[in-house]
Amino acid sequence: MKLQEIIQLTFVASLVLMGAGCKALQNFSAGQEWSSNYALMEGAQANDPAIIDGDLKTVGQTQYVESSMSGEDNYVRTMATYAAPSEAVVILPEPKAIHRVVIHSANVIQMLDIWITDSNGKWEKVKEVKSNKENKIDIRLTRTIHTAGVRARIRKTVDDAALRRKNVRRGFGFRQIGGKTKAQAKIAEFELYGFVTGTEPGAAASEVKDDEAELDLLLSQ
Amino acid sequence: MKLRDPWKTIIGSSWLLVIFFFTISCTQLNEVHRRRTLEARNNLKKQYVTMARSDPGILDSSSSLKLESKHYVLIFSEDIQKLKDYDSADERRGVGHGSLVYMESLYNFVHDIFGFEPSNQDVYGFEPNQKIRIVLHDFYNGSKHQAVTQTQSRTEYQNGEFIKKITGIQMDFPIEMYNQRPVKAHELAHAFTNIYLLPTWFAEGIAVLVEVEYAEGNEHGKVDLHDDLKLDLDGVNAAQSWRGHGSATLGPLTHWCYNYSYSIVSELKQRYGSQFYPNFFRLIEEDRLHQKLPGAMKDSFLVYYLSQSAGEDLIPFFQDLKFKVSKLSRNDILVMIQQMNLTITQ
Repeated sequence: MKLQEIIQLTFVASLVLMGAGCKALQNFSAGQEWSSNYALMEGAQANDPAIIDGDLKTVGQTQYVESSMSGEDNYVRTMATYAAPSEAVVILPEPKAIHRVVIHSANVIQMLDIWITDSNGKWEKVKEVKSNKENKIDIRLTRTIHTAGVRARIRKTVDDAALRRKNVRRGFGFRQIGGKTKAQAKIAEFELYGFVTGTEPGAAASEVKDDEAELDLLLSQ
Repeated sequence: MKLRDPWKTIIGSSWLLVIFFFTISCTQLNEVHRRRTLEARNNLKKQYVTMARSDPGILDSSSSLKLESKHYVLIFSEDIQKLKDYDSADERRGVGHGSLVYMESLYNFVHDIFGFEPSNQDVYGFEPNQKIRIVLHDFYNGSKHQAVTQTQSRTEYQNGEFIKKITGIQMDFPIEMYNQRPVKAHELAHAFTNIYLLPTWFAEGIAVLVEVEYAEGNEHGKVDLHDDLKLDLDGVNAAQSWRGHGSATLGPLTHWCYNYSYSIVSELKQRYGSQFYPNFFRLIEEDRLHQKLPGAMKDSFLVYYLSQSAGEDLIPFFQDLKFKVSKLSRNDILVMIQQMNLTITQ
């Protein structure tokens, strides 16, 4: 075999390998369409499965973060439990590149944080929402995050004030707390999106239209 | 030509080798990736109690006062309909649907722990089309902090022996308690195990085990089985005479009873593994003990079945904890039950 043939063969083989390696990049550049909702993947789990059942009629609830202050005295532990925030947690069967989180809630969530987990199970806060007034919260992450776990920690809902009125009594300069002071969020759906890849069949066409409409609105302003 | 042939073979073989190693390394990389993904998922599962969605197949009445799913009937009691969040059909529908999706997933979760389920008619004698009733209240029995699970049964006399049929399982929750996952898990554990007529301390211990170790509740914790042992006036372990949270005696010791009972149940699970309790219930089921028992199970019967599941005699373990128990054989138990039933018929 001539050297020229060997070089040609090597060149062809390299092209094949590079082609395969660049598949992900090709998929990425194929289009900026939203993927299907990853929370609906087979094997996805949540701390309340009603938030990932694909049905806006079923309303789930965030769960209070359990106090881990078992060593503290009773009073401190009780107070920490009363003021504990609540969370919605979604675990995917495999890590996905997440770029957008959509939360449909029945009671308005005014303040929340979005956290993602790394491969060691450590959580990192990636977004804060501070003054929301809508039932649908559409959060775009500033970077695409490859993760299998996303949680929303609820800081404030419209129901907090009523709950505080019920559970906190004031008088003679004292404050008596008899129960939770932060209400649970009532979440109908917790949706997670990335960008559609070439191999993925379920590109969410409606979401793309949604985006286009949003863009049109912005341009017309 | 003679020179070219060996070259062709060498280059061809080299390429085959390259492709072979490339494939192997890809497989290995995939395997590493798969293992890391699994590890990350397990780490997450340790931090949170999460469940997969189920297919609840919910049926709804027009007023949404009663909703049905595969294993449950959810009912909104009269007093809860006066609350702001439950006073319209739409609100009840939203909460009810979500709640049943959750409870169906929890049903599968508890089923996995015990290995049996109430809808199994062979085990339960649960009549066809029976479902677990969940009744939501604002106040239940004048309290917002007491959830109760009751199992109703009917006893029939068949072929010279008594057979129990389960006619209903009802869980009553004040809504404040229903909103707490560990409480729901605790009560569902009772709904699954009530049929076995377990001694109170053991039934509560099992329910707290599910609540703490599977649903990650923090209301109860372990105590030291020897250092925290409390005796009654007869010198017997105080947990043995506990009659549950409604009990007038041992009122101040109630919290201790929960914790102590849980500590025993957890200790046994730790010693004999995760299949210890599923095996224990299977052995009771094989003897149809729960269907023949005229009342609550005696502690000595319980220890016999626990010993069978453990593969060693647990009488010394319980005697060391000051339980009053006797060593019985299977035959002793069956004869005693027969005698107890004869006494009732006479």
